[in-house]
Amino acid sequence: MSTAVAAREQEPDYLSSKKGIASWLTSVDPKRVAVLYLAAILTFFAVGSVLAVLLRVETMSAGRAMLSASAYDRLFSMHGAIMVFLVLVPAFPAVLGNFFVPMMVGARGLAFPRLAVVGFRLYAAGAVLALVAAALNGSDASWTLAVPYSLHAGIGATVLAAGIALVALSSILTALNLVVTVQKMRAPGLDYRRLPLFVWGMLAVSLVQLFASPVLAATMLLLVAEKTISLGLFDPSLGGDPVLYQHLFWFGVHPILYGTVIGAMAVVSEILATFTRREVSGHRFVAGSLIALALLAFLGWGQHLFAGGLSVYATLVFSALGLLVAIPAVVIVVNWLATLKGGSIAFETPMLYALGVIVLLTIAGLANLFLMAPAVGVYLRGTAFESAALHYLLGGAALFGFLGGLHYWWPKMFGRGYNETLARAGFALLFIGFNLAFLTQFALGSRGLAGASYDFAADFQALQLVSSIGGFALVAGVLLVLVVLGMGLAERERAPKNPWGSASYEWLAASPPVEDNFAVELVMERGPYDYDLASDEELSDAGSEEPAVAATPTE
Amino acid sequence: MSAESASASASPRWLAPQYETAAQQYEAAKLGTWLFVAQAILFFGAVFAAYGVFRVGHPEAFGAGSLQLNKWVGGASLIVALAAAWMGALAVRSAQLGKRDEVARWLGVALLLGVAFLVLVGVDVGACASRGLLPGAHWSPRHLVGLAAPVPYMSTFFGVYFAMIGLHALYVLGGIGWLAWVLVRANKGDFSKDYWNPVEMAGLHWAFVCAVWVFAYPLLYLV
Amino acid sequence: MENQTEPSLLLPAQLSTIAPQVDSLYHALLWSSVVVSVAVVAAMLFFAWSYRRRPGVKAEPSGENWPLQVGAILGGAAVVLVTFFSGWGGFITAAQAPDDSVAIRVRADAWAWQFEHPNGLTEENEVHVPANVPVRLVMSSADVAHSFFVPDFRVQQVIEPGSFSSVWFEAVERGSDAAASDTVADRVLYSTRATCGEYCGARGDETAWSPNGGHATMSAAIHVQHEQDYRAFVARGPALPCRQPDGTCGIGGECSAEESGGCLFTSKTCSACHQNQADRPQLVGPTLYGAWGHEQPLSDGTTVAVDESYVRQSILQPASQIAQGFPNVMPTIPLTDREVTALVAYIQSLHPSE
Repeated sequence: MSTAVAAREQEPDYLSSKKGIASWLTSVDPKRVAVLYLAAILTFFAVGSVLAVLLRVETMSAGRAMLSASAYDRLFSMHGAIMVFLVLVPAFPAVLGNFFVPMMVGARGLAFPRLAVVGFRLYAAGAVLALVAAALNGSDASWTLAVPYSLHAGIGATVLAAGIALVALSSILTALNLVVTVQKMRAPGLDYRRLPLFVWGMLAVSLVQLFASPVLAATMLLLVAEKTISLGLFDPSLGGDPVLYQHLFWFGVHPILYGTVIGAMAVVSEILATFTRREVSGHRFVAGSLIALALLAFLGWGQHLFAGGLSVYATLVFSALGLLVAIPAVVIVVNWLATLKGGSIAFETPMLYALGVIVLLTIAGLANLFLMAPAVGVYLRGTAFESAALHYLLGGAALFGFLGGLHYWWPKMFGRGYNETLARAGFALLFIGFNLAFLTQFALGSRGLAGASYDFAADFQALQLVSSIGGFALVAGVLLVLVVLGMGLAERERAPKNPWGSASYEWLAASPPVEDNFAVELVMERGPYDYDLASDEELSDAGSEEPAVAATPTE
Repeated sequence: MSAESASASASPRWLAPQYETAAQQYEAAKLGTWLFVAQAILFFGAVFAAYGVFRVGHPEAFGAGSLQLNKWVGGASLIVALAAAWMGALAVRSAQLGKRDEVARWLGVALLLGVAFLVLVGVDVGACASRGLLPGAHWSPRHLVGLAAPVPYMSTFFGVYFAMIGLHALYVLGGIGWLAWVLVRANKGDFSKDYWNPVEMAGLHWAFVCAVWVFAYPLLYLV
Repeated sequence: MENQTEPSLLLPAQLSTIAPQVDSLYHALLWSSVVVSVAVVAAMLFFAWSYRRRPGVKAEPSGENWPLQVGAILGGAAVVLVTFFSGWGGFITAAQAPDDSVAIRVRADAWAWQFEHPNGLTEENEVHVPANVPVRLVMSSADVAHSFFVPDFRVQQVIEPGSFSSVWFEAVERGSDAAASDTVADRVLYSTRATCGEYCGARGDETAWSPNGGHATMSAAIHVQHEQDYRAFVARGPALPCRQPDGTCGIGGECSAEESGGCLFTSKTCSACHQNQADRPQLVGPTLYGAWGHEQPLSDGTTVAVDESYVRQSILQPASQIAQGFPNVMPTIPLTDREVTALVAYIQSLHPSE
């Protein structure tokens, strides 16, 4: 090891290099930006979960339990808006992407570090507007702010729409940054064939957000204009077209929702490789499928307009286009299973989340087939079935993927582990609670329970009660997981540098990494999954803070 | 896996620490700017889609609405926009040649033309407003040109017109802000024959800002 | 296909002709989903357990495995094709209403359903429909988007304000009770429910709990009748008008047939040609004030008593008995039985009070 490298070894990590709140708010280190996003996202995740508890208390029984109908409406609208726009949308690119994409391409940082900061500030401004909206009696216009209902809603809906526009602008900047980083910042030797699947996935998510978010932003700005100065583009009483709003909104939001699932797939692929100690089967096909999902996501918006606003033929076309995602989805799941076969599999918490995502994603995908086959889809649209399918996709596959990623990379991000037993208990509670809460909703929807139903017929009572109990377990699981991860930060013992024995590049860095990610400039002589080429030192989970890489100064 | 030690040789101060080489920094900036332009096309795409939907639905209202706009003021704004884009290009050219003074001069002119563009658009908007040609709920037309009475859905034309003009004006303001920032840096002497990335990127973006109007003008004014 | 008229574990009763079609696709999807889910989970658990980490055993290198990739792509394509084509057939049937459908107008607003039968008979939050006859609903919304959703019929259609949308269904008869030979307008075979499938809020009273839970309680009872019973129900016609508190005529409230007849006399334009007041000039047609009970000479030279039978006949078929000295110009005005009865009662009342 050269003296230069040894000197850099003494550098403090990114967390302790500078102190004080100001140093965080002004830092251009993408890892710090990612941590700021993470703090905000987990806070809103907790808030959204608590709102869900209130909703499930109300719908545990028919009639009024504790909320008025309009209070219920505002709570479910805010629950949806917070969970989608403040938690799910930034979760993968802004937290895991900003932190790990540069590390996994062997770069010192993002291509545009200051742009990431601007992105976070826009997100924060959007989040503040969402809070202002909540203070202004919230919005009861559902999370989709559908016209013309949202035109009749109060000022809260206007402020919320403006907040969503800012979050969308923030997504554009985050996505742009990641695309350029992947394309231009890769370390020598890291060509696209070797690119880690997580990076492929983040590239796919970024392409989605880069080109879908501007449409969402423009739509939200037009909605704000419609509500404040009565522009007349959407309001039917002024000659506008509410169906136009639906098209624009879903053109932007449908890909973004699919993008969160792509993010989860990216994380799961990474976890599977590490915990089976082998490359994901059909690497090229999985990578291609992630990109294919991103592209197909742009053709799927019409499926949200079944039984309204679409002609018969348009419905058939969108049914076919929507169904096409089944091909890459099947390729990915089949290869995940093939990865397990022949692996050397360990079952620590991240792996449990990865396996959980396989189950949830399978159910989500199959449920969406029901919705995309028009004969059944028209019947089930807008029901609790549709809501359950959406929850399996977002609250299931996407959020479990995100939490799995957090558990996987937590030691790298913060240099501290967490209590493995409690973390597994958290997963069990989440998984059982989630399925109990939403499998029942499939049955309720099939039996004709409309979505967003404050009240319901007596024969839905039993299933609603089971669903609520599942929901409470789910939220208890969320809180347990947050507490376990938080307590992990306070652990005295430092996490090992490579606790899972992964061959992927980011584990070559110290835990937590230094500001420049790596103490040395990396030259990729092996792929991120070449377990047979990786040295024992690289794969060791010893708590060494020394870089395991052989440092050969080259010029 | 091997590793290179951090290059200890002094790099130029304009080379950001995350980059290895000037070429890498330049290419990253260029790709980033192009991607930004590409996403902006989708941003305006939302309004152009609205235009298309209503135009197909109410062609006569769009014809009648377009008739009310002042083609000469609009045409002037188009010429100003094209001139502004040209000035941006001249600034980039001067930067490449290392002529610092000219960079600042052309940037300044482009910036002023941007402001002039906004003023011209504002004049036309004011003319519409004074005749009650306002969108949606504020529609109260007076002194219509070439029409005895308003055509149904004419207010929707003005809804699209104001949406397009409004979003574009916001975007122009953003472009002006970008130019102004580069102008300040140019005056500080940040650019040289070796490094003019920000000028080129601002110029590239500025050209797009102006180009949007090349599409919007005929759709709104000439139909 | 036989209809299952009782709800099953997962699906409501099949009370329309398309319900069995929808359900067979639902069940096909459901069972293949169960099989696929179980297979995926079983494979996952089996592999995970079989290849659990053991000391000294390394992971096998993974490869491209072309047959697996091709198989996965073909499998995915099969899912697409099968779902698309099976989801298509039933949908096309459901999308196209038969030509001989009974058309009922539906107006939705937050939070009520208004129905108008072809003859103008209106109902609110309930509607009578015939069994075994296709019914087409032509729907519009007065405020926000709603969706007409009848789980038992497996139909749903969103109603966007500013445009019309339509949906159709054919309700089946439930049970085996043979069609009754007599006709009873109020006899209902069974009732089901339409709810609102599109969130439409509840900007109601914050504090007081009312039966109106907004969107969740926006529902209408659908009463399915034998066809002839339905015809009889509709033939009763729209509700008769009454004098409202402000003196004008309108729908609402209860009143005598005579009072309704008075309203109809004006609204159906009888008063344009027939004088109904004392000491006022005669109009185009015979004065009806004080006519009841007298003898009326006819154009064919005969005489007829002005009684219920004559008045009713003259309203329904004006040309059959023309009063002497008057032109044969009276049009046939479409009226329901109840309206005719009300008019007759009114005309009977037109005489000096004693």
